[in-house]
Amino acid sequence: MSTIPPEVYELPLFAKLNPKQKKLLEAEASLDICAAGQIFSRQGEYSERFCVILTGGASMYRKEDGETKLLGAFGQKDWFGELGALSSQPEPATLKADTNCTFIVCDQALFKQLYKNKHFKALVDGTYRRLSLAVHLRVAPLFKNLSSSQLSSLEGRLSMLEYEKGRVIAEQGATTDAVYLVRSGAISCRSSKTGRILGYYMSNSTFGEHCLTAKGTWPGNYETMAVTSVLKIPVDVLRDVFASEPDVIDDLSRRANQILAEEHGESTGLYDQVTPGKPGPSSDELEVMVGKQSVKGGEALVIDLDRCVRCNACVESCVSVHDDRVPRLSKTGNRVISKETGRPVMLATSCYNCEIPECMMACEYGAIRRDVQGLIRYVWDNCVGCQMCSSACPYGVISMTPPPTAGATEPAFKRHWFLQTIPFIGNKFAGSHPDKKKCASTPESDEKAVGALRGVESRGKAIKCDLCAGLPFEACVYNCPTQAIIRMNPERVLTGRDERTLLPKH
Amino acid sequence: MNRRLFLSWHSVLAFAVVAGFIAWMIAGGESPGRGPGYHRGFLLATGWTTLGLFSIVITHVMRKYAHKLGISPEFRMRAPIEELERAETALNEIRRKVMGGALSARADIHRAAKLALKKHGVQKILRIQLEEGTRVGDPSWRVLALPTFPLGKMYHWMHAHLFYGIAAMVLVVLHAGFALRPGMGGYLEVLAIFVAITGFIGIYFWSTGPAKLTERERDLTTEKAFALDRNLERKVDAAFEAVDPSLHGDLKGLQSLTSDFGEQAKQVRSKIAGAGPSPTGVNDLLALLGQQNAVRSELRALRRIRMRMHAWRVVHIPAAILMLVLVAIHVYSVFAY
Repeated sequence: MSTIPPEVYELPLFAKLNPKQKKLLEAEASLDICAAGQIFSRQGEYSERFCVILTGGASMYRKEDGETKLLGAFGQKDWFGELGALSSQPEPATLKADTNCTFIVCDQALFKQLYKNKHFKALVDGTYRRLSLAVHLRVAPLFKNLSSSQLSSLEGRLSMLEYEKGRVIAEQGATTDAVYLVRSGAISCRSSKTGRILGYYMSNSTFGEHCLTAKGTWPGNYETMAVTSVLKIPVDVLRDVFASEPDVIDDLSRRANQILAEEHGESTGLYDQVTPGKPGPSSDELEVMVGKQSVKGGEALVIDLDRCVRCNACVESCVSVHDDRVPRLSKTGNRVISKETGRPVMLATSCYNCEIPECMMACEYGAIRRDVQGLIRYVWDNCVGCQMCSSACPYGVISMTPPPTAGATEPAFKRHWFLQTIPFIGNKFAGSHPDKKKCASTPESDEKAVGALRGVESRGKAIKCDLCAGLPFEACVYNCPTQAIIRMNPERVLTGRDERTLLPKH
Repeated sequence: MNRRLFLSWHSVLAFAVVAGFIAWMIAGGESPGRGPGYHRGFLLATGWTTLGLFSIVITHVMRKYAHKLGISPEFRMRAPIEELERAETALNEIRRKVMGGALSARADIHRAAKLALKKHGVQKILRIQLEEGTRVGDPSWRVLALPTFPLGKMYHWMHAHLFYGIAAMVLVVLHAGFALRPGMGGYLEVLAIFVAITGFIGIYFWSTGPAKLTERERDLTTEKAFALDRNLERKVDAAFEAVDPSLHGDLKGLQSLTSDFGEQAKQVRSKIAGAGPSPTGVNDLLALLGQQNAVRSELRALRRIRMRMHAWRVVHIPAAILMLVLVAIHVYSVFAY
């Protein structure tokens, strides 16, 4: 039974939903309360909830350079969280309840379904322009020094564009005419001469700063990697709006040069090779890593091949800690010589926790999310088994598994025969042999039901390495007898340096 | 060679135990074993210490198999992900305070972070480690939440198995007094030495085998070789279909792995050519068989290296089990008689 009060459907935001969307809203939205002074969402943290305030009010704050600024207030029937729900990126501001609030919560999956409705989308985008645009622009390093009034003066002059997957937004060599801010989705920049990927741009990042520099041409082809929404800020608009403030244009040009220098020099280390005189990876290795997009990964499971005795303990322990008894790790993958140790290593086929997760972008049901640490997690209840994530993953680390039978209270695998013989405690032990009868998919299984509600044919559940979430170890790392397996930034393997740190080192 | 296998503080401890007993024997002028003028205290001490060391060695093996079967106690220490995320949010708050300077003393930060973990019931899953900020812009302390690894990583246990096993072997010899007398003591001594030698062989192969295998796999990995062999097998079967069945006998002989494939292929080719014009498909089939032979010989070489890395256990494990059974009988008999 729905917890949503009937008057909710009369709110302008939900008034023109089609019957299917209304049914989804009824089934999946929830009602929540927040006491005065409590924080809804915190700046810098991942939150994918879209909320509509029913009663009460809240204020938005942003902390910059140690100073907290009030950016705006939200009242009854206002909504927030569309940026996080759209892009799965950290919140740009903190939202705090001023009074006791009641609000409707839509998770990312539901929001994405509702966002397909034209009326809903128009209202959300309109409010985004009115309330959130200035906040969003402030996230971009290029506009960091602009004041709120200066950012507000840009509002009416920007275009909000949406592109399908695989669309080229800008072509190499053409004159750069605008700065783009990615609102959701992701874009890759590939050199048409060498075919190499020069960079990735995900939500909240900007490209096209070249238009403010002397160079002024696109360095590669900018192609969307998923359905992507961008804000286009034409350089003419910037020059026009700030015509009376030449200092602002100078500052923007200076910052643009700085950003481009960082992007192509120090930040990733990948471009060292094209800088004469600097030590860098060999072209073959660069080709393997960039071509196969390993550099996109935040953390890879690396096997030191000179230490691995091929005992299979890593895979066996992976099987042991997962109820479905399906290993999340495969001992195949790219073999390279580590720049850090000089020894041959293998980047095993296991989730890289990408900084630009194509699986998450491909999932239309909110079954893949980032947790507060930024790790990629599955929300199994939302998975409908559509396989979009497994086909989108560039490393092929996502596989499909038949789910346990609905209503089964025990793990769907056989107990080891001799353990069963132990009196009193024998039935407490789990074994390692999948019980095919129990694992077989049934029409009543959860994801089939979820899939049916959303009109998708289910092929099981998607699984990938979950870093042994909830356990005090990563089973493969914990159980390796020769310390051959470790999680590390693939960039460390390639360049011997580690400038990004997503996960703790073990 | 993987020298990491030998770098462990367990080696120091094991060496200290053995050195201590040898020093006792020399300094005290004790006669090892149960020979004339034996020292009862020395005999009992070597016996009990050996039993203690064997217990550690067995615990490692039991842990290993418990992991395999999924019955390790730490596998049941799972915390709800929601609580972990709440704890991480609380830690973020502490990190903010550290960044803002509201928390600066190391002890205070550590205490606050530990409390945050305890509040959410994940203190058994995560432990706090503080790292001093070194780069410009870093906070004074970086608060890291790391996995606890409750019972120690398996490679520590592996080191313990290796070094305490060696120490136990030396103590068994001291306990027996270097005498290979017939009877339980003698059998145990021989078995202990045998188990240790097989272990040495194993550790040699474990330390050198992976590098050899990786070197060998540079051109063709085992997985690829298997796939290639399966693919070639399909192609060879199809090529046989296209060849006159009367020639199958000679050609099938080439399928079994031989080191002089080239020579034998030449003989078969000349034999077939002597019977008349070259039948269709034979050359293609011979080329495919040549490729299959090359892949299979490579696969055999890879298997050989892998086998060396694991075959020693076929002797080591049964011998160790037999030794432990004899140890149990020995201990029982000492107390019973």
